[in-house]
Parts: sequence; C-alpha cells; structure tokens
Amino acid sequence: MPMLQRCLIALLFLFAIPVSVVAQPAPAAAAASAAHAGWWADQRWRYATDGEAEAAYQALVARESPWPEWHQSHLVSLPAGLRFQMAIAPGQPTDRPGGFGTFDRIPSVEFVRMSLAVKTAWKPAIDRVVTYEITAPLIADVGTVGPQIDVPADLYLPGGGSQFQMMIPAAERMQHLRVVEVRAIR
Amino acid sequence: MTRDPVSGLLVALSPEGAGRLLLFAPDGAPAATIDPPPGYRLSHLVEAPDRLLVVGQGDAAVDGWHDWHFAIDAAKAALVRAGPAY
Repeated sequence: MPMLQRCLIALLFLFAIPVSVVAQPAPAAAAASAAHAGWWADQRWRYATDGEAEAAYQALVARESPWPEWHQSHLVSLPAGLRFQMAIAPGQPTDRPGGFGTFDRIPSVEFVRMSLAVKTAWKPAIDRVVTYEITAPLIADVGTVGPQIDVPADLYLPGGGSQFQMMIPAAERMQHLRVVEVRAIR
Repeated sequence: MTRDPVSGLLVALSPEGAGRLLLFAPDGAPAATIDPPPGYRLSHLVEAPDRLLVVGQGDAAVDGWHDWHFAIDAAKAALVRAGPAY
C-alpha cells in the first residue's frame, strides 16, 4: 500500500474514533413512544449494546418488576418504632395496608407516580397517605424503587425513591403496624 | 355499592372475615356472592376505566406480588386474576 494511502487511512481512523465514542445510540422506537425515549435516555448506559438495552426495556414492560434490574434482594428485620409512609386508594381501609412502604415523605400523587413509580394500573386512584409505625419487627425486602413504563399513558416513571416490600402474609401486616397519621393528597 | 360496568350488577364488599363480594341486580335483588380466592382476603373495590376490580391481599407472593387486582366474572360468580396491585 502506498505511503499516502496509508496516511489517509490512518487519518480517517483517527477522526472516526471520537465520533464513534461520543455518539449516543438512538432508541429503536423513540419516534413511537415517549416512554421508551425517556427510559432510553436514563437507562441505556447500563447496557453494552442497543440490543441488550432493548431486551431489558421489553422485559420491564412485560414483567413489571417493582425493583430495578440491579436490585439484590436484601431481607432485613425492620425494628419497632420505625415509621414509614404508604399511599392508599379511595375506599381502602387503613387496616388493609398494601405490601409496599417508603421511608420518603409522600407529598403528592405526582410523587407516587414518578418517584415511587406506581403505575396507574397498579393503583388507579390515590387519595390519602398513611404514616404507619412498626410495632413488632417486620421482615421486608428493602431497596430503591425501580423504573416503570406506564404503557397506556405512554409515561416513563423513573422511580428512585426508597421502598420496602413486606415479606409476610397480608393478613398479618397489621400485627406489626399501627396508624400514626392519615392525610389527604392530590 | 358500586356498579360493575361489565355485568351491570351492583357490587358491595362485606368486610367480615376475609371479605365477600355481594352482587345485586339493578332492582336491588340479591344476585350472587363471591368469596375471595383461597389464600386471599379482599381489601377494597377499584373502579378501573373499563371494569370494576377488587384487591385481594395474599398470604404468599405470586410472581413477586402479594396483592392482586381481581376482575369480577358475574356469570360464574368467580374472581379472575387481572394484574398486580400496589
């Protein structure tokens, strides 16, 4: 190969590297879904290839895990005296708490949807927040809220708040809890 | 009492024990009762855009979830698992 040709190829290679390094992979279906684009912007970096990222996205839509993909189950015994909050639905008695709580203050329904990533299908309406206090040690999986895709609403719910999942039969929940406060939210 | 848009029946949730759905015809005549699925207690009714659901809270997790929405099959007087409930 002549020297000039080799130099030209080397120059092209040098210019090509930075372009390939900084280029942001585009979501395959960004034009079709704002939720997909939102997830892609936040989460694409976790995966080596676009294909792996797309597979993770599709798995999230299909399986709806409440935990982020990187979550390692971390069962702990939450001690008596610890307080947490829970968003509840119209008509839901406070002595029928759900299975998830947060150690964050819940200021609004928007917070429940976006930071706690509660899809509309999981809880169509929310009208109150209950502060509970643990009265007897409660076994729970503790971690960070994973992102969700609310497909009907075409919304990416980033999550990121704190959460725990009670790992006891539902009928026993109130044996470990007492209601401290109930307040309305919008 | 809440109207089920699918069957047209009126539905009430009795909180006694593990809960029981009471179904009534539009004229108020009793139509059926539905007990919770084994291992569940009924918590509250949920008015979804297209149907009436009831939340069942379980003794054990199914696919990682203890609480599930159940749809009302009035013709069979049965509850059908519809999706996770938070």
